[in-house]
Amino acid sequence: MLLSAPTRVPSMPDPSAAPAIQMTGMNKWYGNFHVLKNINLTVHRGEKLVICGPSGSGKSTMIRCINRLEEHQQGQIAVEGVELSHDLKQIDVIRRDIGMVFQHFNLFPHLTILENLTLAPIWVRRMRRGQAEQTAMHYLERVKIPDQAHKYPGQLSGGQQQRVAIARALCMSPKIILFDEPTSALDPEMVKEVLDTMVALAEDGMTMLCVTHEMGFARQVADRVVFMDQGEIVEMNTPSEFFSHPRHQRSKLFLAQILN
Amino acid sequence: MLSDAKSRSIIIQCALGAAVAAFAALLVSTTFANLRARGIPIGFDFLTMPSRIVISEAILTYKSRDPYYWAIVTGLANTVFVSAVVIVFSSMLGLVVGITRLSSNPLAAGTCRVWVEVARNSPPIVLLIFLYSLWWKVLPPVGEALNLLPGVYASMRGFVVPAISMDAATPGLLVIALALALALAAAGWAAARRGWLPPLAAPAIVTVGVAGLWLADAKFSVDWPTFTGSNFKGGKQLTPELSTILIGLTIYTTGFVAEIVRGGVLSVGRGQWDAGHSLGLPRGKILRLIIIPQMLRVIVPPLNSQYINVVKNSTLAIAVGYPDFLAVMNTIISKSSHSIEGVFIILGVYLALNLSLSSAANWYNRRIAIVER
Amino acid sequence: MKAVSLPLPAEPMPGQIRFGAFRRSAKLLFGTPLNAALTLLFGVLLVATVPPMLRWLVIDAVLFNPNPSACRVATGACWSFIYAKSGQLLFGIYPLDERWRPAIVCLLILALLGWSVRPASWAPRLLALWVAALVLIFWLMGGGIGLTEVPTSSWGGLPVTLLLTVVAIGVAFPVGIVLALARRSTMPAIRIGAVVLIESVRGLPLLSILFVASIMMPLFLPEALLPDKFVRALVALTIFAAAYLAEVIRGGLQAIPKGQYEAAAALGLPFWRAQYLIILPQAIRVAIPALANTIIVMIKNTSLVLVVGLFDLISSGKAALADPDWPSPAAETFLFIGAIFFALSFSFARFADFLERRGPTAH
Repeated sequence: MLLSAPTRVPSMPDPSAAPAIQMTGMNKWYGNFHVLKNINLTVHRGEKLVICGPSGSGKSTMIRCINRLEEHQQGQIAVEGVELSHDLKQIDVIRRDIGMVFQHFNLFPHLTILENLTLAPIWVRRMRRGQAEQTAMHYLERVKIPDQAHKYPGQLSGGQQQRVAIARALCMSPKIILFDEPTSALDPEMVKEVLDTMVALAEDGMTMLCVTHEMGFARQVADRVVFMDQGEIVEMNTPSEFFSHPRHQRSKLFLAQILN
Repeated sequence: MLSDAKSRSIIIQCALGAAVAAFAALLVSTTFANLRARGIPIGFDFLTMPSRIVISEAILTYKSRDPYYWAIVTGLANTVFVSAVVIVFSSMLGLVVGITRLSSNPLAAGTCRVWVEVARNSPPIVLLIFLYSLWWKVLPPVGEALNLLPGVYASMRGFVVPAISMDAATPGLLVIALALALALAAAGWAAARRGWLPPLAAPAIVTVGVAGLWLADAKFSVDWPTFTGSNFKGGKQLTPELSTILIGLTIYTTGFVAEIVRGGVLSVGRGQWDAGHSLGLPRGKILRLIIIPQMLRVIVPPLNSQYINVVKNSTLAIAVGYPDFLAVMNTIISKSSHSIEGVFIILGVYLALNLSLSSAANWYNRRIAIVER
Repeated sequence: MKAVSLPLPAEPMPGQIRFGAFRRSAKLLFGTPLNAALTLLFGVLLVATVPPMLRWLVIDAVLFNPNPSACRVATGACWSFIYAKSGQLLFGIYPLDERWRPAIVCLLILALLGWSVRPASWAPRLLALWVAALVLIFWLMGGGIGLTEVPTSSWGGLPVTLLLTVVAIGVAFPVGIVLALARRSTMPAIRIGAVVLIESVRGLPLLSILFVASIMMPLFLPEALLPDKFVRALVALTIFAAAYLAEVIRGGLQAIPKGQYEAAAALGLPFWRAQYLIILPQAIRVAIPALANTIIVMIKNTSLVLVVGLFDLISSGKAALADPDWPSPAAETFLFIGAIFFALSFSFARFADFLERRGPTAH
C-alpha cells in the first residue's frame, strides 16, 4: 500500500564513488526567459530523488537537460564523471546509460511491444536478435505483462503502455532512469500499477530521478525530495523532514495545496 | 402528410428525381435532333473501322491503317506510360527533397525550398511550355550532340539512350527464376523494414537471379546508338515532346510530393524523437526506424490525390505536342464526328483510372494502418 | 574515475546573439560530416548552374533597346522584346488607347478577390459587392454607356485570365454551397447524387471537361443558342470550380460543432433560414484558407483555356512571338508569363497566410 504507513525502501546510495549526476551552476534560457537559475545538484549512485513543484517551475526541463533533450547554456552537467558538451557522438554514448520514461509514454505505434523493446538493444548495443528478445521478455515479465508481447501499443491500456515504456528503458540496462511525470496522463485506477512497478525498481537499487506529484511515492521511495519553483531549487531535504517541517514559505504554500 | 418528415423526404427525392429525369430527357432529345440534323450517325461500330489518323509517337506499335479502337488503346498506353514514369520518379525525388528540406544545412534546405515554391506557384502548363522553348535554345544540333554518359546523347532532336534487349532460349524458366528472386527481394525488404536483415539474404537473391539467367541461356544485347552523319541509328529515341512532358511533370510533381513528405515527418509527434533520443539512437536511425515508417502511413491519402493529379496533368501533353489519350481522342472525334461516343469514352477512361488509383491506395492504406483497439 | 573535462564552448548569452549568428551558420553548414557533404554537393550544383544563368538573365541581356537586331547579336536574354511588347503580352489585341480599361479591370479583380478572403468581409453585402464589381468590370472591358465598345474577340491577355477566374468562382459559389449541403443531406437520393457529381468532376482532368463542354454544348442546345468559345470555356470552368468549392465548403460545415445546429433548431429556425443566418457564415469563415487556396488553383487552371483557343495570357505570348521582326525569344516570354503567375499565386498565398495568422475573427 502506498499511502498508509508505507514501508521505506532501503536506500543504498554510494557516496564514495563518482556521483551519478553532478550539476554545477547550471543555467538555461528560452530566448530571454530564464527558465533554470543556477542549479546545483549532486546525485549519488543508487540514490532516488523526487522532484516536485508547481507547474512551470522547470522540473521537466531540468531532467531533460540531463540526457540532452534540452541544452543548457551555462554551467556544467556531468553524468558518471563525463561532462555533457556539444560532441554528438559522446551524447549518444551517455544516453545509452540513461533511461527515460515520458508522461505520454511515446511508444512506437507501428511496432509490436516486443519490437519496441528490442529496437534499441539491436541497433545501439548491437545485440543479436535472440538475445534481445530474451532480455525483452525478461523485463516484460518484471513489469507483469509478458502476454502482451505481440500486441501493438494502440491495443493496450494507458497503465500497460507506461509499464511497457519502463521495460523499454530497462532493456538498455541503464545506470540512471529519469521519470518525467509518469503517472500524470493516466486514469486514476491505473496509477497504482505503474507506481508499484517504480517502487519495485527502486528496491533493486536503480538510480532514479522522478518528477511527480505523487507524494505517497515520495514518502515511500525517495532519499531526497527536491522542491523547485520558478526555475530554482528552493529546498532539498529527506522526505520526512520536507513533509513535516518545510523551511521556506513557498514550500509550505505548495505542500498546503498538494496535500489537501 | 406534408409535415411528416419521412414522407416529405420521399416526396422531395421523387420530385427531384423526376425533375432531373425530365431535364436529361430534354437534353437527350435536343442532342439527337441536332445529330440527325447534321447527318451524324450514332453507334460504337465505328471502332473497328480503320482510323487513318496519325499518332506521332507511341510506346505500342501503331499504324494509321489500324482500327479506331487500337488508336484509343495506343493513346491510353501513352498516358499510362507518362503517368507511371512521373509517379515513380517524382515519388523518389520528392522523398529526398522533402527530407532534405528538414535538414539543418541552410544551403540544402533553402535550395529545396526554392524548388517547392516554384513548383507550387506556377501553372504546370507554363512550366511545360517554358521547358519546351528551352529545348532549341539550350541543346546543340544533332551533329554536335552532347555526350552525357556513355551511350546517352542529347541534342535538339531529343535524347538517345542505348536500348537493352534480352533474348532467352527458355523464357519460361527465366520468368520463374526472376519471379522467385523478386519474391525473395520483397520478403527481404519487408524484413529489413522491421529492422533486421537475414545475413544471407542479398547473396541468396543474387544467386537465384543469376542461376535463372544462366539456366535459361539468356543473352543480353545492348544496342548502342551510332551517329551516321545525319542522325543516330539504333538505341532508343526520346523525342523533345516526350522528354519535356516527362521531365517537366516530374519537376512539378516533386514539389508537391516533397511538401507532403515534409508535412508527414512534421506530423510525427516530438515525443517519438524524444523517445528515440533517450534510447541512445542516433538521428539517422531514429529517422529510418521510427519516423519514416510512421510518416509513410500518414502520407498515403494526400499522395493518392497527388498521383491522381499526375494522371490529370498528363493531359497537358497536348500543349507540347505529345499524343496522349486526350489528344488522340480529340483527333478521333474531329475525324469521325462521333462526338457523343467519344465523350463517353473520355469520361469513362479517366474515371476508371481515377477509381483504380484510389482503390489501390485505399487497399494499401488499410493494410498498413496502425493497429488500434 | 577522474572527470574528463571537455571545454564547453561559451554559448552566447541573450544580447550576444548577433555575433553568434555567423558562428552558428558556419556550424550548420560544416558541423557534421553529413552537413559538410550536403554543402559541398549543393555548393557545386549552384556554382555550376547559377553563374551561367545569371550571365544569360542579367549580365549579357539586352534590356530596353527597341531595335530587334540588337537581340539577334546578343548572347543574353532579350528583355527588350518583353519591354517593347508588354502591352500586347498583357492585354492582347485590345485597342491601344483604351488599354487603361483592362488595366483597371485587373486591379479591380485582384482587389475583389483579396477583399473576399477577409473573414470580416463575409456579410450579405459581399454578394452585392460582387454583383456591382462584375457589372463594373464587364462595362469597363466591353464598353457601352460612355465608353467605346470593344467586342469580346478583342479581349485577351491577363484580364481574360483573371476575368474567367472571377466569373467562374462567382457563379460556382452558390452552386458549390448547394452541392455541399446536398452531400451532407440525410436524404439518400440527394446525397448519393451529390457525391457522384462532385467526385466525378473532381476526378476528371480540367482539359477533358473543357473539351467535353466545347463538343457537347453545341449539341445540347438548339441551333439558335449556339454558344461562343468564351461561354463554353466558362461553363467548363464553372463546373470544375463548383466541385472544388463544394468540398471546401463541406470542410467548413463539418468543422461547425453540432451544438450550433442544435441551438438553431431549438430556436425554431427553419432549415434554410438557419443555414443562411448561422451555419453558412461560420462555415465559410472557417473555410477561408482553403478558399484562398482554391482561388489560386483556379487562377493557375485558367491558363489551360489556351488549348481550346481562347486568348488568355499564354496565347498572347505565343501571338507576340509570331512577329517576324523579332527573333522569337520564346524562353524569355514564357519566363515572364510564368513570373506573373508566380507573383500572383505567391502574393495571394502570403496574403491569405497573413489573414489566417491574424485570427479568424479579427476585424
